[in-house]
Formats: sequence, C-alpha cells, structure tokens
Amino acid sequence: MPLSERTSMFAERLRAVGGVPYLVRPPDLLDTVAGLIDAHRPVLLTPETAWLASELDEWGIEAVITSAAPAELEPALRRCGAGVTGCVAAAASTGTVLVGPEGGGGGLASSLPERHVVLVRESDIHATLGEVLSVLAERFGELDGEAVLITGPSRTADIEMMSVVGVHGPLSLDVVIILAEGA
Amino acid sequence: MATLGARRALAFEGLDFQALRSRLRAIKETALERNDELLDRLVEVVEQGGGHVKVAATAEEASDYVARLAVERGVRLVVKSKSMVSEEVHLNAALEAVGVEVIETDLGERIIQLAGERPSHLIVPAVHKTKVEVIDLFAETMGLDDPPTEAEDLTRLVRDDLRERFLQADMGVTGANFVVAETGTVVVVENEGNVRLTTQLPPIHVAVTGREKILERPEDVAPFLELLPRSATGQLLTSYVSFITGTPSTPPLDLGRETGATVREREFHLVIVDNGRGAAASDPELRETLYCIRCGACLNVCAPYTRVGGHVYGADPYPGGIGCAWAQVTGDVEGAAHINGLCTTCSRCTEVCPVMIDIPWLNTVIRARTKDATGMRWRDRVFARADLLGDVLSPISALANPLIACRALRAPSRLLDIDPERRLPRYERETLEAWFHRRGRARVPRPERRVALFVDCFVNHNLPEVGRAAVTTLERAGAEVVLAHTSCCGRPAMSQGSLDVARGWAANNVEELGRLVAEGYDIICVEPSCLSALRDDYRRLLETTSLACDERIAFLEANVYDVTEYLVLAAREGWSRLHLEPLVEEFVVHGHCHQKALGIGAAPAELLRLIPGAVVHEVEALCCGMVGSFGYKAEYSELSQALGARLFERLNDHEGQVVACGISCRSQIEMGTERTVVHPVEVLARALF
Ligand code: SF4
Ligand code: SF4
Repeated sequence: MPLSERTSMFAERLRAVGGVPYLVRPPDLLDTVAGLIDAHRPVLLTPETAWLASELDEWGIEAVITSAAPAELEPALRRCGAGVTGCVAAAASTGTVLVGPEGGGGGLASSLPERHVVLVRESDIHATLGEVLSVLAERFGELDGEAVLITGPSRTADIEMMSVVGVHGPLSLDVVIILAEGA
Repeated sequence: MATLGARRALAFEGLDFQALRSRLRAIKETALERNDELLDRLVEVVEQGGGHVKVAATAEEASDYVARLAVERGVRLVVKSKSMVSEEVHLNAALEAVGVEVIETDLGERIIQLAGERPSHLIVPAVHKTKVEVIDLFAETMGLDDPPTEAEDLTRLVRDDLRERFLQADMGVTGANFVVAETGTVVVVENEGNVRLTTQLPPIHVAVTGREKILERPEDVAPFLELLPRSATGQLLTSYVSFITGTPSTPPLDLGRETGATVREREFHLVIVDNGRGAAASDPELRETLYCIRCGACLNVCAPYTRVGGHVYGADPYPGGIGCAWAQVTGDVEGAAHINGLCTTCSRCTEVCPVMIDIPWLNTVIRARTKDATGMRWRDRVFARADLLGDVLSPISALANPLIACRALRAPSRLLDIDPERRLPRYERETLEAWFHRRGRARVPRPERRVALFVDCFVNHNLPEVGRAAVTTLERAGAEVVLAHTSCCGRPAMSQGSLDVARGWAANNVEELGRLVAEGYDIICVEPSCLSALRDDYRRLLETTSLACDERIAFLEANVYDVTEYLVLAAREGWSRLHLEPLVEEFVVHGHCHQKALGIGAAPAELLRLIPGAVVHEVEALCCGMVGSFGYKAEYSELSQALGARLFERLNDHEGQVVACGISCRSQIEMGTERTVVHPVEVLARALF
C-alpha cells in the first residue's frame, strides 16, 4: 500500500525530531495504543480520548480522564505513566502535531506523563507548518485554554550544548497515524 | 559552537531567509507603530476573558505587583520558567523579599540558580559552565555522594527533583515570546516542557513580558515561528509552542499543597512591562532594539562575546552587543556605557539577525550618547581625528616617526591609555596627495572609465604606497584617475562616538562625491572601512537629520566601489586593459569584515587569481580584532589580540605572502603573525606588464 507522500514525509520528519510514528488501520488502533501504554499505567485520557477508557478496561489498564473531579484526578497526576490525546492538525514539513485543550485539562495528558501518545487521523496531516498555523488561527475560539504545537519529546542542550531528550515534559512521543479507510 | 553553526546551516536550507526576515521586520515595525492601540485592545480582551492585566511603567512596579499578589493569595512557592523580562525587573529578589520561595525550572536557569550566578546567554544561560562544574554543583546542593556523570542522567535528576515542586507550587511565572492583542493569547516557545507544567499545574499563572512583544493577530505569529527556533537553536521548530488564551475552565488542582493559598478559581495575570520601552519606541535611533525577539543568534557569531562570555560582555541581564542596546532602553545607561566599547562593529550579527537589527549602529549611537553625557577621553578625541593627526604628523615625519617607534618614549602612550606594546603607524613625509600633485594627472588615451580615488586619511598619510599602487593599476586598466579632495569618511569619528563631527563630514562627502559622480566619475575606495561608511553608514548617519536627502545618498551608494571589486568588475565586463605578468607565488588572503558585510568578500582573492601562476588561499573571514583604534586602547589590547588568534592560526596554515585590504587589519596581522602584509593592489602593481 503506497502511503501518501504527505504521510510518509510526516513520519520521516517526526522520526528526525525523536518521535516515533505508527501507521495503523482503524481495526488495529486499540491493539497499538494498548501495546504502547501497557507498561506505563495508569493512563491519562482527555475528554476527547475518553472513549478509550472502557476498551482499555478490558486490557486491565486503569485510565483517568483529565476532566475528572480533583479527588480522582489528583492522585493519578502523580502516578500516571502515559497520556493519550487527539490532535487538531499535523504538519508534514516539521513533524509537528497541534493539540488542543480537548474539552478540559487536555494539556495535562500531553505534558506530565513520561510517554505521550497522540492519535492523528491521516486526513488531518497538512503539508506545511503554515497550513497548521492557519487552522490554529481559524479555530482559535474553540481552542480556548491551551493549544500547543508539539514537535518531538521534551529536550535540552543546557549542559555543554549536548542534546538530551526528556527533561520536564514527556521522554517519548508516539504518534499513531490512523490511515484513511480503503487506502 | 561549531555544531550549532552546522545545524544552523542545515535548518536554513531551502528557506528564503532574506524575504522572511524582511517580513518579520515589517510585522514588528507595524505592530510597534500601533503599540498603544494594541495594548489597549489586549487589556480589554484579556479582562473580558477573566484575566487580570497590569501595565507596569517601571521595573519596580512590575515586581511589586507580583510580590503583592503572592502575599495576598498566601503563595509560598513559585515555579518559574525562563524569562528575561523577569530577570530585568528582578522578580526573584522581590518575591524572596516577601518570603516566597522561587524555583527556576529551566535546566540552565536552575544550574545558575543553584550556583548563585546570573545568566550569560539569552538561550543557553549556563553556557559558561562545564559538565564537571555541573556535577560538582549538583553533588553539593543536593547532597549526593555519588552524583551521575552523564548529561542525560544529570537532566533526569533535575526532572525528578523539580517534579514535586511543580505539583506543590501555588504560582507559576513564565515570560512570553509573543502576545496576540486580538485574542489575548500568550505564546511561549520552549523545549524542556517546563513552561507547560508551570502554566498548567499551579492555580495562578503570571506571564511577565515587555510591551514590545504585542502582535495584532494570531496569523502574525506564524512567520516568527519559522525563524525564531532556527535562529535560536538551529531547530525547525522547538519541542513546544504553547498558545495560552484565557484561564483554563477546570478547577484548580489541590495537589497536597501544604500552603494556605486561597485560590478557589484559576487565575491568570498578564504583567506588561514598559520600563523605558515606550520612550524608546518614539526614539528613532533606539527603536529597532524593540524588534529583538531574543533568539541569541547575534551572540553565537559575535567574536568578542564568544571570547569573554556574557558576564563580561553583558549588561545584566542582557548579554552582547544587543544587550548594550537593551540596557540603554531599560535605563541602565551605566551598564550600557560599560560594555559599549566591546562591540567592534564587525557587522557579523546583522547578517544573522532575523529582524535585521543593525546592532553595530545601535552601539555607535549609544557611544555617542555616552560621550555626550560623560565627556570624551583625550585619547578618543585623538583617535577620532585621524585626518588632523595626519596633517600634523606627516610634515614632521622625520621627527615624529622615531619618537613613535621608540619604546622608551612611549610614556605619552601610557598617559593616553594606549597599549605601549602596540606599534603606532608611521607617517610618510610625502602623502599620496603630494605625490599625485608632483606627478600630475596621467593621460590615459581614450579612457574606458573615469574614476575618482577617495583619499582616506590612513592611505594618504601612513601608507601612500598602497594609494600609488591603486592609482597606477587603475590607470593601466584603462581608467582615468583623479583624486577626490573630500573630508575624512567619518568612520574614526563614528567609532569614537563623535556622531556630529561624522555627520558634518558625511554631508560634505555626499555633496562633493555626488558632484563627481554627476560629472561621470565612479568613486573608488582603497580602505574597506571607508567604503562601508560611504555605502552603508551614511544613510543611517544622516537619516535623522536634514543634512542630505535620500536620493543623493542613494546616488553615492550606487556609484562607490572597493578598488578590488572594481578591478574584478572591469575584468568581468571585459573593459579592463590590464596585462599581468605571471607571478608564481602563493598568497594568503584575509577577508575584511566590512567587505564581507557588503557582500564583496570574495573580490580580493578573485582579483589575485587574475595573475597567471598565482596560488591564492582564502582563509575563513574571521575578524582580526583590531577594528580601527580598538586594539590600541590599553583596556582592549589583550582582547583584541585574543580575538585575532584564530585568524592568525588560519593564516599561518599557509605559506606565502599575506594579503589584507584593511589598514588596521594589516598592523594587527603583522603583530600577531610576525609576517608582512600587503594590499592586493600592491601585488597587482608588481605584476603589471
Ligand atoms: S558588530 Fe560584531 S562585535 Fe558588534 S555585536 Fe555584532 S558581532 Fe559582536
Ligand atoms: S538582536 Fe536579532 S539576532 Fe540578536 S537576539 Fe535580538 S533578534 Fe536575535
């Protein structure tokens, strides 16, 4: 199956910035996500990815949603090993994903855990960063709170200019690209 | 930082840098022109969204506001991400004074904080610390017997150490790279993820920023995201660019904070600092400082900065040549004056600045203001008048030269704070003008071009042989040569801060040389620094005056050439009549900073390659460090030689005759390499048939 040029470019650029792309067909999505987070429980979900909770339950993976009441959320924030978010749009030119607040506290799922898993529909991948920024500008109103462009895992070069991956944000970034049906 | 340079080159591949940076500049110019209006709009929008805005006229007002807020809300612990403006307003000190603990969370800033120091770079604040120093520091401050030794493990250590602080903090303080007036959005660019935790975990988020950061629409931010990361770290994009609009709708988390923070709802406070910016916006000479996006690209190419670092070359907290301008803008005139002398005006930074700030010009302007405020040293008065010095010393050169050369008699040097080790230039009895007058104008049959040689002070008095070689070579190429009897180009005066003197001369030269151009002459310079004054600086020098109109300046700019550039063009255009004999020799060519900045850096080597048999080695265009009178000044002499060290090494990689166009480069290289140096036209004159 030939991938669209845009998708393969996105995957290539994502790899270049230290992220890992996974190309899946819709029926294989759950297996892939569960595989990625299995060793990183519990998992933080956002209202947008909350639908995964019951499915993951079958795998015995505990999930907490970022819009949950503080009493439930707070202990999870200290223990969470992974976070799963969706994505508003992605840019092939830089390997970037744009993640919105996803209905409440979405940013916690993409910033606190060691592992961040992003679900991207192939149709949301745009050619350039400029196009993604236009999407951002157009949909500013609904992205109230925090919208963030994420390009690879957190990193630093503050000690002798040596590049180190994994500082305060996630140590790894996995992007699950959901291929268009029939592709 | 070689790796950064390489990464930078890769990151800019396939990008139209010039077009993009013109665009950024235009956006900044428009936004700043409308700054008052955009500020009003921003305040309104943020308040509508439930946020609070404080517009602080001074640094104290800004830090007091945050400190008072912390006290009112019962804040005990603040986590902070990197923010130059909060350093500028001394926020940490203000918070600590009211008993609040402040934790820097950016890795580099944390290292600096643990060491009790101040940042030395805009992007890499702890760039002056080695890994071993960091290991020792962590061992000591965290009480570790067996600290890790790899950068990765050291980083992880800080992650674990600070994670609980993020969860416990009552307030998070960030800066902002951009603020969007239309939507009230704060945009923060980062790599470590600490900004994201700082804005999301604590119940109160305070963003502290300068009023120059306001842009109108979200779309205006986009082109900056193309250039800021590329310029700062050589990345296509940083790991995170956060767009924070309004306050999150989720209730504040109570993460086991032991404090009495009394926050029921999340709060967002935007502190907009003026601290001299408003005044600078209406100051045509300083205004462009406000376009700075703090990317640090200028620092990475600046030889004095990379040599001595931000603690020496910096006015707290802003480092380097642009730091001098920021100090001036924010009212730290002493700090600005203190570091002003370190900018050698080599112009390397202007080539990389994503908003095209003319940093050397800002430094020149500030030098002039410092001089007006504190008076000028005698020595600098002398250096400013290269023209007078020559007029006085050339006629008495038989007497003056031995005095200048005699070490025992260099006591006056000491009095003037001139490095006694420096050999000052000799004065020739027969100036170039006198020689030309004695010889008379040469008749060139059916001349191809008519040129007027700009007689600069140094060639005229100190190195007339270079001028003679230029005249002869131009004539043999088929140009009829006259001398332009004008004023000094004004560069020596400019570099000592005597802008009014320089302006007078510039206006005079625009007039006189313009008249010659109108009569059909091309103007030729032998010294690249004079050329750069004529072709580059006059516009800036005169734009704020009514001494000369733009068209006349443009007229001169378009018709003035470097002698090597002109001879190369003559050969390319096919009108040159030069017949050159083979010279089977090796030449090592030093590229002049100002030639490089004017885009004619390749001309000297290309000219020498016209000589059959010549083997020409071009070395990387590094600043020689002499910079006119800079190297003579006792306080900079050592730095000046140190700046030249890399160039000397490169030159010494090759055998052969060293060739350089600049008069001051020549004396610096002769001192640093103990080899003789000649101008390319002197070589050409030897090869004339
Ligand atoms: S002109 Fe040269 S010395 Fe001055 S700030 Fe720029 S790079 Fe540094
Ligand atoms: S002056 Fe230009 S290059 Fe230097 S930090 Fe500011 S924007 Fe960047």
